[in-house]
Formats: sequence, C-alpha cells, structure tokens
Amino acid sequence: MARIDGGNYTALYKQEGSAEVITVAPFYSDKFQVNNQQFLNFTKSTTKWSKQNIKPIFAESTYLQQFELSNTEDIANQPVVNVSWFAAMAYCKAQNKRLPTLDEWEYAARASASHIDGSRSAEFRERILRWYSMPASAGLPNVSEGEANYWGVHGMHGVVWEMVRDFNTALVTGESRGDSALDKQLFCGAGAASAVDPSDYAAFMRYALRSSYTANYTLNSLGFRCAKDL
Amino acid sequence: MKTISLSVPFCMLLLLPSITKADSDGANQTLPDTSIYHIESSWQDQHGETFNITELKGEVRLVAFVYTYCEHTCPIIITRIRSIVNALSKDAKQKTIVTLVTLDPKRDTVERVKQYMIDKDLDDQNWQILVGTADDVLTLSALFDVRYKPMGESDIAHSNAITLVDKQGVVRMQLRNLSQSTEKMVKLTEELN
Repeated sequence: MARIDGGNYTALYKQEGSAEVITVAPFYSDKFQVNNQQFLNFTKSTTKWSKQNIKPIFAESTYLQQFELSNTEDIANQPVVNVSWFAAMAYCKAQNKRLPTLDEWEYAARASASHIDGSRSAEFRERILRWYSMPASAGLPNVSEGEANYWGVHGMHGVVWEMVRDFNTALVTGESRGDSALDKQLFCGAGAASAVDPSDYAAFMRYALRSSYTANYTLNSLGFRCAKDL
Repeated sequence: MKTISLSVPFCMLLLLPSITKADSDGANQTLPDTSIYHIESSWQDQHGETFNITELKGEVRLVAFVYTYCEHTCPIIITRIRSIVNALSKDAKQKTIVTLVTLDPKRDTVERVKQYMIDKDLDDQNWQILVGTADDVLTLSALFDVRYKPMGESDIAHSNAITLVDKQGVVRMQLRNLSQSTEKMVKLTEELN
C-alpha cells in the first residue's frame, strides 16, 4: 500500500457549520484498484458474495457480469467493476482494510504526478476532464497501467470511477429532491451555488455520481480500492 | 436461544411481542431475497441487550434513523411514527414494533439512548432504539437508502425516511419526506400484521 501523508484540502462543498478546509489524517491506500482475479478469489472464499449466491438486495443482476462475458484470464488484471458498494465494503473488510472515506479519496486524488495538490493546475484538470468526457469503453486497461500520482497511487483518474465508504453522505441529489430536510438552509440552492470552487467540474461529476447511486448499484465503470488506518 | 428478561410475570410475556427473536439455527435460508435480514450485524438496544439484526425478523416494524442530539426533524419523525401507531387497530398496535437506529454511535451510548427513550416518553415495550458500530450503521442505512452527513460539531443532516418493514425484513413502503400523508402506511401496517 502507499502511505498518504495527512494534509488539508478544500472541500468542493462549503457547508454551514463545517470547516471549508478539511483535514485528512494520514492513511494507507492500495496502490491499485482491486482487480477481477482478486475479487474472484474473495468470492470463492466468501461464497455469500459470489455471482451465484448474491442476494439482490446487495447487488443488481449485472453483478460481476464481466465473468460471463469474458474469459477470466483475459480480464484478470483489469479493475473489478459491476460490483456493489456492499460487496466492496465486504471485500475490504475481509482484507482487514476498509473503503477510503470520501475525503481521503478526494485528497489523494488531487495529487498529480509531481505535486500533492495538482488541482490548481489547469493541465492536470483538463486531463482528468478529458477522460470524464470519454465514453466508458468495453475494454478496460489493467490496473497497473494507470498512471502513478505523487503518492505512488495508480489510476485514480482515467481508469474507472471508484467507490468511497461514505458515498451516501453526498446529499446533493437527495436534498434537491427534498427528502432530507434537516435544515433547508443548509442545502437549498444546492449544487454550484455552495461550491467553493465551481471550476472543478470533475469533482462535481464525482459528487453527482455518488449522490445518484445506491449501495446495490453495479456499474461497468465503477470499481474500488481499499484503504487502511496507519 | 436467547430470551429477554423482563420484570413482568411470565404469563404476560406471552402476550407481548418479543423484540428479539431467537434465530440461531440458520433459518435465513428461508428469507426472501430482498430481505434486509441477510446482513449480519450486531446491535445493542436501549436495555443493553446485544443481538444480531437477523433476530429482528418476525415482527412488522416501522424503522427510522435518528440521533438523540437532533433537535430539528427527529422529534417530528418520532411524532409521525407515533401518529401512525396510534391510528392502528388495538391488535396491530400491540404487534407492531418501532425500531429507531441512531446515526451517532459515537455519542449515543446505550445509557444515553435509554435516557432519551425515557425523556421522550418512548419507554415502551414496542419501541426500541439500536446502537451499532459506525460501519454497521452505514451499511444498514444504505439498505434503506437513508443518507446522512455530519455537519459541523454536533449536527447530522439525514434523510427523514420512515420505512415499513414486513415480518421477513422486506421493505414494503417508505415515506421519504415529512410532508407525505401517513394514511397508506397505516393501512399497510395493519394489513401486514
């Protein structure tokens, strides 16, 4: 795993009563996304999470469908996708790890190849956006092909979207549908109005995705990696 | 087998719905695929009783996620649940269990939630509040599509959902916001009992 030094980052959304600058404690992150072979091994030892035994409440019917569409050997080193948040949580737990928190992921993901914070670099942002604007292709690269960032963490952008532990704390969509009215003031006019840095489109897209999926969704462009406390 | 100890005569126990049900014989195989009781996580109620979530099967439940420091919507959620319960027939009212889950396991200790239930006049056989680990709360809330986020020092923004769960742990209905009428939920709770 790669050690991510602690540090501060400016959250995309500034919220009343919470700090604009978020402090992230040091943690370990997997260098690579979990690949198909690793996940397959997990489902063999914990059969509850196998394609055959998975309960629909934990994953949609497209769960792990890549194993039906391709030879396992061909996709062994590709990031595992079509895997639900429940399954990702269980996988990391089985490795004595956990999913990274949203803040940890966002903090680590803003590192460019040479800087802890590449988010101020227009070039870095553009490269991320270029990938976000490409259609999800059928063939995914192997996890090791993702570019390493400052921390030695590969492929945080440009391979697949990644799940975070507290994805369901992204209230953007939920709030605008009006289902979580703790305090309307906090969220009324959600979206860009409250964003600290509206030019960070890529982060918007990630927040939008997180707030729109539920824990049993399985998407063919959504994978994960695990993290661990120091 | 685990039994709950209650300071009431045994004959009365038979009349009361038991909040925890023994389920150590792997009977989960018979649960519907969509039952939330397929998760296995350990919880404590306000009396300090520890049990697996699967033991909650067998009763019709109204479920909501709250926390004791919540001053804004939680009292409204609880009032709404109370109004649903009060609209039930005597029989259904006796059988239906209200299960609250705290979103704030860090501060909501068993002692604190117990006091909360007393203070809010919810110290009743049919009302329980569950305390779990942060991970288990997160997973359970995800099963209910309940979203929440700590805000500042003491608040937690959260969905205001009230969910009706049948005896097998299948979500049958959910009121997503506080302005939806409770009428249909009363009717369905009645039918499921």
